[in-house]
Amino acid sequence: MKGYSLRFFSFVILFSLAVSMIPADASGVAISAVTASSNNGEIDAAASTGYATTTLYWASTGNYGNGDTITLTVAWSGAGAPSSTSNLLNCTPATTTAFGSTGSFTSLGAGTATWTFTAPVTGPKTGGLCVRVPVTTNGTGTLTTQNFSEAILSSGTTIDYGAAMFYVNGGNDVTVTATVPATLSFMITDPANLTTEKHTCALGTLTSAVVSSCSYRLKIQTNAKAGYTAQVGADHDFATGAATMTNIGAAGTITAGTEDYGAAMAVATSGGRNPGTGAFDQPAVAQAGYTINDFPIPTTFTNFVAYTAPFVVTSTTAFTQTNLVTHKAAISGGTGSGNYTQHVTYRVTGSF
Amino acid sequence: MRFLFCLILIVASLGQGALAMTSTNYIVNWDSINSGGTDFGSSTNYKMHDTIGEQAVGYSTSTNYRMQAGYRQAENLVPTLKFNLGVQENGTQTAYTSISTTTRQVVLASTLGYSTGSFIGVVEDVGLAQKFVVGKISGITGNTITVDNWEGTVTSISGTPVGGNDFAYRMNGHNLQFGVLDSTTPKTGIVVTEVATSALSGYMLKIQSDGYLRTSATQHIMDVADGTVSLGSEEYGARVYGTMASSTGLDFAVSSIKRTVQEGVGAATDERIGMVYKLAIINGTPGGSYTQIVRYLLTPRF
Repeated sequence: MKGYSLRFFSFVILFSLAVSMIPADASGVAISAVTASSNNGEIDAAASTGYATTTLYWASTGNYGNGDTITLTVAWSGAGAPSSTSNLLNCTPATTTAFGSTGSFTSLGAGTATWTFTAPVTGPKTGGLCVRVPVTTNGTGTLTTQNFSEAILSSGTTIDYGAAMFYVNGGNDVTVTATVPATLSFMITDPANLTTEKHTCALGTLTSAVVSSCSYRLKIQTNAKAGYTAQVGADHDFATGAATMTNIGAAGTITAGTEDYGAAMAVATSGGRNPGTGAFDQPAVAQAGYTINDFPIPTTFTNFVAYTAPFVVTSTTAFTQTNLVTHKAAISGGTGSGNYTQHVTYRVTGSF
Repeated sequence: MRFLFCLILIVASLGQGALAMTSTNYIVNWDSINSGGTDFGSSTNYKMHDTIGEQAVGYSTSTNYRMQAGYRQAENLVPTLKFNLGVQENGTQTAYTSISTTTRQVVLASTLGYSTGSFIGVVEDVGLAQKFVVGKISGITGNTITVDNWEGTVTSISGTPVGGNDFAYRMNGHNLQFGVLDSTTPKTGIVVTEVATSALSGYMLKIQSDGYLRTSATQHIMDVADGTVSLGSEEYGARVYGTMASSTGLDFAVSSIKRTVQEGVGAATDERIGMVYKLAIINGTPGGSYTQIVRYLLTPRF
């Protein structure tokens, strides 16, 4: 009997020793910080009560037992600790379960809270805890820009620990701003020299044998984000005061020997900004009535050529980035003699 | 027989020594058998939690486990995590006459507006190729500011700048203002980020923008795509500098795709990087007011 007792108690002793050597597992866990504003821990608004609702989610690495606790600690970054020393609060509605098991916050203090399980959790299992954190506002009620972390540390045989950041009112934001001043320029140039202005277009002495013509370029540049629109309008038809030359019909063709007056346009084939790539490789767009040469010059202002994004002329020889306008006249034997004139005006409007 | 019973009790007590003890009215979360110490030592200004006489305390790790043996080690388990950022405040621009990366001092024309605990940035030759350092002010004596550490282009900044285009800035803001742009003068702005954590596997700090630097839904500054923001091109981007900076050596787009800019592989005490935002435009860059919000997201690795 004595030997049996010795063996029995020896077994108990060894078993107790073995149990005492079972380690508590301490594991860092990845924590998700969720707020009403985002899943990145950003807090862009607080309840009028001055609290922000925060939830931490993580996956437990083992079991949480009945009576085990999770200590939650709030730590503010930098010198911007909140002036409020109010306690953390349970969320609304109050959290009564975590990781699928019952429990409660057995303490809610300033910057710390303790959750105690009243039923075991069989893990690993994903769950979370929700608390409300006091946040401060300035005189106008705007949230003070700050950052804080919430850390968790569980007790018991499974010791999980980790932390996540919360960012209050852009505490993690950099707002980048810049201003590009509006620009708009317009120049009527010599068709062969983009730096020389030209405001006359002389058709010369007309004969029925040829179509007379003269040209100039419309050099338009703007950084207006919606581009520009150029309009054209003449003070009157091409006339002497006593006689008026016949306007070419829309989309007509001025031919020698037939009295007609009008113009043609070769729009810029590049210079328009491609909003997608930023390249200035897009053509200008002739407006309705001016898409097919030849066309009459209107005596009321109408849209002539346009583009819907910035437009540039990148060099003094970038002729393809300008609009070439050519006036044409042809007469017949019955065309009245005299000096024909017309004053053509262009208006350019940027859409900023 | 009595001896064996006592031995069992002792062993049982030892076995529970590292665990919590509970009764109807009390919970003892931590206990330890040692020779002394107290959790409640205090004076007017200080309190002390001390323990003496513990056995086999210390810190050890293996591939899969970490052990922190000892009563007070439990306190060390409480994770810590802090993050701060500061943006160059243009309104605090101040000329400086000298800077030392060894004594960690910079001499300003005036220290008005600077205070201990604030971030400071010092920029030499403001522009796309500027050199700069950032630090946290630890002391101010006259016009001399001392910082705890410099990060940035520490090895290349000159001790004595030529002047005229060399400035210091307080860096407590969140707004990076390029101001009014033109095609001949590229603009820059610097940001400092600071991470502190007890996470033994370190951390990652990523940036993510809410979209392009834009003036409308369809008009934006083009992101840098060739690794360098250059005069004469419309380009916008950023570059990072510092011991803990990630993906250094090129100007990168600040886009809605997350990008790691700072990374640590162990516990960190106020680890910082400097980040330069760069912007150049051309004549056809759409006019207007441009805005972009860049968020910094810190993920610890506990």
